[in-house]
Amino acid sequence: MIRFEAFFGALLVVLAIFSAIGVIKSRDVARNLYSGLEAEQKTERELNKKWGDLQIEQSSLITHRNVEKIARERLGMLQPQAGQILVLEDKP
Amino acid sequence: MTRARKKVVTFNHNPLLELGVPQWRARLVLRGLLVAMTALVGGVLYLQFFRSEFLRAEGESRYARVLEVPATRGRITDRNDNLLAGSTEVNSIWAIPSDARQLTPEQVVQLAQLLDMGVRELNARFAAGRDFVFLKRQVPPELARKVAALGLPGIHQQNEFRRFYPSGEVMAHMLGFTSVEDRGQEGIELSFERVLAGQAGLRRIKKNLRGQVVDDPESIRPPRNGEDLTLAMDAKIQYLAYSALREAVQHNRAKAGSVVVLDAQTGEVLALVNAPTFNPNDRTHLTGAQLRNRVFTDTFEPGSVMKPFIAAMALESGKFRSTTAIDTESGHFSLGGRIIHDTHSYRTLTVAEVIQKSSNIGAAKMALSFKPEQMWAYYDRLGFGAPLDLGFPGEARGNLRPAKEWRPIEQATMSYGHGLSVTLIQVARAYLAFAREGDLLPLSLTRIDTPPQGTQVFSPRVAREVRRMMETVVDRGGTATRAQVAGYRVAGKTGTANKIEGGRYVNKYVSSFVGLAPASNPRLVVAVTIDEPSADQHFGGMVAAPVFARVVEGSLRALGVAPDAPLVSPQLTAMAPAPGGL
Repeated sequence: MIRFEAFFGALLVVLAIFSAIGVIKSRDVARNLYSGLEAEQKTERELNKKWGDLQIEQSSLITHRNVEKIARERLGMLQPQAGQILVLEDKP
Repeated sequence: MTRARKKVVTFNHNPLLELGVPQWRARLVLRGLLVAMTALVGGVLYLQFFRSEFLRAEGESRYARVLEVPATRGRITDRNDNLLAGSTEVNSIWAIPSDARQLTPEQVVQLAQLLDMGVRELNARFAAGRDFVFLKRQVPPELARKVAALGLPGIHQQNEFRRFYPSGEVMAHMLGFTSVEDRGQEGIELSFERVLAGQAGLRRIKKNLRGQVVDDPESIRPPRNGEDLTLAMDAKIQYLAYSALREAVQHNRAKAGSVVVLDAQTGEVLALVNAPTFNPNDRTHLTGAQLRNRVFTDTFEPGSVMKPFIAAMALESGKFRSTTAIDTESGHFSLGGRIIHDTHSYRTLTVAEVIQKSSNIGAAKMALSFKPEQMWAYYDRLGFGAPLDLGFPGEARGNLRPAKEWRPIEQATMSYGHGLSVTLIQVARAYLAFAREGDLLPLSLTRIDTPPQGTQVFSPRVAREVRRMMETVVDRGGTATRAQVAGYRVAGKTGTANKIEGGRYVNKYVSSFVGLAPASNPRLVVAVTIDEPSADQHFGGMVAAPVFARVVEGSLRALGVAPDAPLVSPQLTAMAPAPGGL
């Protein structure tokens, strides 16, 4: 009986030590993962910012004022007059 | 066991204990220990029960931080998803003055050069008694990086958002702008603030000695980004309206002007421009006149653009048909001691001709066949005298006095748009009744997919008949031949109203034109006002109608609306190289 109790006690001690080590290990893993997440979120924010900036740049390049200016001045284009437009209609 | 017992015995027989130490010394030490123990326990209890809050907070402040997680403001796009307003991250440079005062003069000069500020100004900021001063807000990222590279003590940076409006002054009044704190101040930015604004999140973190985040124990509140907003506006039509208006205001040397374009099928606001305007990206020299969203905030006496409503009421009553002749008294009609004039005098005109020639006397005579209450009820149902409540700041309601106060002369003048005041957006909306089958829609600034239910004001037959009358306005013999658009049938009405200053009519005018196109199946309502044209012309048909024509021509083409009139235009006959060449 005494031998069994001693063995059981020792087993519990060993288990407790292992679980303590496990706790330390998993906390470490969690922290590493968390700092990884932090880094990814930072990248996400930066990419988002870049995307937003590119959108603004794109839309300032394609404003109608800009397009009209380039069409008229650089490409020498003209507004078609009413008679120069042919409207095609599909017959059912 | 025996050995242990032996040890105890040995200890008891220690010769030192045989020394005769007086009893009181032992008691003294014991009591001293007791007192010390009590004090300790008392101290612990005090800390535990009376100081624990304070101590816990002190401990947490050493490692725990609450961080703000920024949220972005929603983007604004037009109906075709072109970006009209977007936020970008910028940095603001700020300082802790007490730390910054330790900078060497060379460092201050260096910083001043980078920030493009005077050394004296910079030192004045550092002399401030506060813990926090902004040195420069919203600097470009490159500059922020250079400042950070200097590594100066007491100089810090903070991320902020700055709003950009790529189309600049073209959409300024529609979009409005935000403050440096990213809050809406004007226009859509203000009226849709609740949709667009994000809510910054908060999270509590633990930091180690080196300031690195070691744990993310809880997020107190997740950040909520603002929602994107899709406007009803069509950027192309908006630009057309903007450039047509700007040209007309310059050409007529006018004080101001406005254009509104509505989608007749859905009630969406496709374009809204005012002149003068401003650049929302650079608001350093802003005047009140530039800032005014005249379409909503300025009321004017509408003048003859009200006449089609009177014609519609007359037809609706059954007392008139479009061919009914009205005695127009050869241009002079006296009523209640006042005389109503026509610009051109006619002996008699039919109802249709009253609209085509814009006869005040004809409109007055039709109006006098109603009770004031009847006429008021129509004007009320058309939306005059009540704000549209689209959420735009400073919207005017216009002025429509109660029918009880109307004298006959007032009822007569009100038929041709004098003695009441309206905003341009009210007139544009009321014309939806003619562009549709006599019903009115609520307007929408945002894109809508299913048109709302309209409220019937006139019967479909009357709406179509008045539309036909308004087509004759732009035909040969009407007041607005300059509103013609090659390839499309258009309908509309001119208006020219004297302005009132200090309660008297003065020699200044508001010229207007409100119309719809194509007349066979209207898609657009376009309303134009030009305020105080001071070149040689002031009639609506000369000043405002050409703006209408330009906006309609470009917009219908942009929308891909098929022409509903034969294409015989003066330009074509002049330009076509050979028959069938195109």
